[in-house]
Amino acid sequence: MYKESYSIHPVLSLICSLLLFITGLLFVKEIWFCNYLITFLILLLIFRFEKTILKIIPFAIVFGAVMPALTLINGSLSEALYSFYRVLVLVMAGILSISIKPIHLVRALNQLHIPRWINLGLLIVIRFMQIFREEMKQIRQAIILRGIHFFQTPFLWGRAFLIPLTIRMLSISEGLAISLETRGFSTDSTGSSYETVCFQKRDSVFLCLFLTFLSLYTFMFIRGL
Amino acid sequence: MSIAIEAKNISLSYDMAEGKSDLERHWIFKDLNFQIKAGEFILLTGPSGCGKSSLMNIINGVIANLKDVYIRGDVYIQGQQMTGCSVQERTAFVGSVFQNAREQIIFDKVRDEIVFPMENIGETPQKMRDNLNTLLDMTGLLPDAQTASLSGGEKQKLMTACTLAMGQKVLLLDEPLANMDRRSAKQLLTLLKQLSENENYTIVVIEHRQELVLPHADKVFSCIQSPLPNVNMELKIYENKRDYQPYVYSHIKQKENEIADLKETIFFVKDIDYCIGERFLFKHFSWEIKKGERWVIVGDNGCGKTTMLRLLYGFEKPTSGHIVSQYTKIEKRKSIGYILQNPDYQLFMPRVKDELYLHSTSPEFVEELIRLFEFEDMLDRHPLSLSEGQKRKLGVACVIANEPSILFLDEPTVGLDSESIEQVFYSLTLLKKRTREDLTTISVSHDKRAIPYLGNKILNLNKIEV
Amino acid sequence: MKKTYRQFPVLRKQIIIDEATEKKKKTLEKQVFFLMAAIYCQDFHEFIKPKTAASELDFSQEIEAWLRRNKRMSNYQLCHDCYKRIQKSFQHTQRCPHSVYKTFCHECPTMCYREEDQKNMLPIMHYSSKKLIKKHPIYAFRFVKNLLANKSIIKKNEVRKMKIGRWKAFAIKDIVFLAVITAVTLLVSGPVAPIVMTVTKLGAQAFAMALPFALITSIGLRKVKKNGSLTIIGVFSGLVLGLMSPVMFFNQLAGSVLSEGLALILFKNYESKKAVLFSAGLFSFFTIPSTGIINTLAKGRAISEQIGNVFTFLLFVSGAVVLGLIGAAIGNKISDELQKAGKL
Repeated sequence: MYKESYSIHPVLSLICSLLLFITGLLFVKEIWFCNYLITFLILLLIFRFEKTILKIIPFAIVFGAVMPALTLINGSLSEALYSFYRVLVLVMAGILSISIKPIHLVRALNQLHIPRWINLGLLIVIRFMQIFREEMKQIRQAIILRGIHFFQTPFLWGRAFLIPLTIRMLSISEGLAISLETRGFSTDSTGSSYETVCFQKRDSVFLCLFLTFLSLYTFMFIRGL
Repeated sequence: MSIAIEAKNISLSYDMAEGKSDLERHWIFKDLNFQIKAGEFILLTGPSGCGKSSLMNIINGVIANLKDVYIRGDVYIQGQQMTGCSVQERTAFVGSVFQNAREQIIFDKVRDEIVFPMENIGETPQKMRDNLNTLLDMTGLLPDAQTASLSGGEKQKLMTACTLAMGQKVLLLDEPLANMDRRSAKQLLTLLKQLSENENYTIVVIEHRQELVLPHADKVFSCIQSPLPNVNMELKIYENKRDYQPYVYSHIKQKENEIADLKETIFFVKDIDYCIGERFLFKHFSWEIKKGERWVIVGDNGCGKTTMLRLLYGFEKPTSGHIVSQYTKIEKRKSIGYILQNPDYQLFMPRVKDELYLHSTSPEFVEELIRLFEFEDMLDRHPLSLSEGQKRKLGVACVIANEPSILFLDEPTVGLDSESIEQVFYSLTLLKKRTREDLTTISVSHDKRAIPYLGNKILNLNKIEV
Repeated sequence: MKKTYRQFPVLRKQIIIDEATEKKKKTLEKQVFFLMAAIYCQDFHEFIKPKTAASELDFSQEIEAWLRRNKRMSNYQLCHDCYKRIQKSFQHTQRCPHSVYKTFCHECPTMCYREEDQKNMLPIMHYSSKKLIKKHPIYAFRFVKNLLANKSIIKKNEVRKMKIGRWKAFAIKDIVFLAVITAVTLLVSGPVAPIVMTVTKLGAQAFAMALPFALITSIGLRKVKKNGSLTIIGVFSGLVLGLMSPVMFFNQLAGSVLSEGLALILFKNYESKKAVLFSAGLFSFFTIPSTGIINTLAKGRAISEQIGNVFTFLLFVSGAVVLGLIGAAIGNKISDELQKAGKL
């Protein structure tokens, strides 16, 4: 089996992301919340998530500024602080889930005997969001070329946007479906897998450490420490 | 030699009315019979919209998925009867490669895309790895390359590799060279020819760019007008490709002699650079366009023809340098008419009439255009219900109806028959009269026969040093 | 035992038939029908005369042997009509080609009873099936065991799905179109999502995403028209959004299942435009309850804290419904136009 390098098993990443999210939001008002965040940040750094962390820093800064500012308008300083903490929790959970590569997730789900068409649909959605971004840019430019402006004739602009968009959706999906069928894909066959996404030693280590810290903090939360 | 593809009396009609006899029904083609032997390389060619793709879709079974059609006759591939077999069952015998590779790629990496069809048919991982290495050597692609950053030619090579991965000995390719530059096209055709000669693959290529494919083809199947009144086309088989004459336009009027008036400059391209990623499309490029001139930009696929139009219009900005125009942004948008390559982006009104009269300046000119393009019967129809050729003509007519003084045309003759092309050229003449000879046109075209009629000044982007 | 292979109309694949087992199955079926008819005759035809004891009537060899072995069965009194019905049923059972995987009559691809016969047989089946469990539990148990075994044979070997009711199988082009619809929906509501995700009041998210979601998904439902389409859109969008925020997966799934479930209960299928309007229009609205529940369970925030100002909450909720219905109506209009142009 050809094994490619990847950080953490995708399904494990998803589960840990969800757990971090839930527990983080529960622990927001605790005194040791910062310790909690720092512990898991160090854990992620040990497991080489630095690239994803760097990617997510801009979002963290933007939302970390906007959200507390909005809360400050209506509430107190402590409310704003809690909302900042909530943003950090979202960011932490996001690091794990964003680091998942779709192709690895799809292969892992295939191994869990999830129907192949669900996995294929997931890939198509992720991939074609980029393609349709370009298509929408072309449509908006075509609207400019025909001299239609949104603020002058909004109804006409809406037509000029939605109808070509629907036509493009129909023709692209038709071409893609034919291409998939002629490449042997069918909804009821099982097919094989080029590489298996295995649960490696590092996944077990990560899981142990993760669960240890999580249980520790949960214990502290329950005991009211 | 064994027979790879055999067709017996295949007929196709979109006329689904029941109870009609054969003479009453309108056929695209009727009772076609042909045999293609194993190891042959066939070029299937003909005018746009004649039914070549439909013929290919009947062989690979895809036609049933497309529209409601009435099909008769039998197809045999490698001796097996295909009637009643689904598309998936036929993929065991025949592989298909379609155009628009960009809209068919679903994976991020080249390796995953090539492996995908092999996973679908249940190959063992070892066989997948061997096949993958062979295909990567054949096509020259790198396994870890990002599919989004491949050029048009490389994407098409990737799709061909995907089909080859399934191991069928019969391949059908529908316009594979559409977005490819010459070099990639030659590489792909050489690869297909090698497979045909050495490994006994049967290759059928549908292509307009006949001059590229003819040197490699063994036989030519040409779609010609059928003499029967209720049938569109019939197939003429040239056993010897030397007997085949490439398709020419009929009834093209003589080019008018024009005197280029030297008037003021409307666009001044000053020493621009333009790069996509690390690749430079233009480097220290300068150009001057004067009023009344008629330019044609030519060059290979991917060399920047459409990008130049977009730079002139203002949709793109050059990496360095600038484009000076006497028009402000708003004036530009009012006076430049831009005919896009794909009319689907521009047509959105409920009726053909509404499209033509939208923003038109004079109703008499619109009526003149309606008469010229023969839209009288179609005025109340929905624009999207027209055929591809009619939609393109409508796209041209809508832009011309606004009487722009500068006209950008992006591949105006692709997909049109000779009569329609003539109508397009005549409409440009009409527009020139309306604008009192001040019309400036900049066209992009790779159609050698149309270039003399589109303009008298040529900008060849292939010859520009980058 | 000699094994033969047969290919049945429903199952594409060939399966091994054991003739002896098949014979036993058919005998059991006849026995069960006999008992059901006998019970029916006993309860409903009490006053019809003349009646004959089963032991004195003519049946096939195995049935007569069985009656001789069981005194209780042979003492059953049957009227003439019921005897005729039993004879007819035995004939049909003997000739039935689907006995290998036979389940219920209404699931059979070939209905062998004509309408007049059905009127005679159905009352017996309906009444006696319940009584049989009390009076002859062993036979009832064996019959049900065979039934379940047959169902599992169908499940294992079925390649072409039998069309039962309103559930049609999805083709690749349907899945692809629904995936493309999901991609465009997420893209169009994309600019709004990050802002909305951070607003913590219940209903704000649904309000902001209602219009684009409803518009694009309604076009998807008009094109695909199969039951389950909205759930598939929900699964795809949930999976993708779930990669960003895990809670969104449950929101999308719950919203789509609730909306589609309710629409199909009311309208049965997507043939009518109202079904599409309802289903797509209320998709966003139905994500509100699940958001509330998940926030309560996962984040420990009370519902009242999530709602905040009641007036704003009601505004969000009604806005989500109204905008959703407007979006779905626009989608319906576009689909109508494209349908007329022959594109949809």
